[in-house]
Amino acid sequence: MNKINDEIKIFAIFVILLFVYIVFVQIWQFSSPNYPPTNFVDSLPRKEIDPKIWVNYRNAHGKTDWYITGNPEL
Amino acid sequence: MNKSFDYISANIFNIFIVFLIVLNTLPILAPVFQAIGMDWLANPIYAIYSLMCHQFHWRSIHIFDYQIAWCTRDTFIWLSFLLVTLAYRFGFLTKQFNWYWILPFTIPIALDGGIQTLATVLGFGDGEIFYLSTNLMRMITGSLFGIGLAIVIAPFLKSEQDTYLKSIGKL
Repeated sequence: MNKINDEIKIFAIFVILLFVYIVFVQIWQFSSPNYPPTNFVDSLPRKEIDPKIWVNYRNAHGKTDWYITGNPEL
Repeated sequence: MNKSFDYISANIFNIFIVFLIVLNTLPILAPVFQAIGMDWLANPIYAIYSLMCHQFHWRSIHIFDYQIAWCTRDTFIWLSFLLVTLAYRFGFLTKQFNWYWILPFTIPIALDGGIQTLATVLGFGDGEIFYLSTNLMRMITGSLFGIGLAIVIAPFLKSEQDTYLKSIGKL
């Protein structure tokens, strides 16, 4: 193992992290029917919300209720 | 008092790793606690991590319809930091990198996050935002940044701990 360059090992750690991301997205996909990822990249930008709603949302500690119950534009 | 200092000096790297493990675990547990109705545990975690992250839910990974307590970028900054630190702890990595190696690892996150922040600030109100990152891009740039920090900080802390242990003859 010590014969492998540390730089290559660091790249391997990055690949592991990429795999962890894939696992996270899969867990997200299967556990969140009301708020699934848009795709693997989660690339479709949801419309940014009004700052006032965002503050209320933060006060609700991360609940997606507002998002689920709500805005027809989303 | 001296005993406490001795203990900290002899375990500074290990203490740092425990801190990183707790730091990485709590935000992932928060949505689980929320989902099983343990709000009294989830709420403090969300509140504490709101001091460190914007907590935009559309920039976060979700579990059971609730977001992880910080965004995708922060999740992977600290997760990569933890992984690299563990790699140094258990001898998988040994090389000490100079401080300036942080710089190339910072450029991607500075561009992706910086442009997005600028776009968000300028776009709030009329809803026209000219650049939004993706969760995958947040993961990539966050991981690179975390790795860049860790390859400089982790070996430094390890050498500090090892130097102390050598000085008292325990290594």
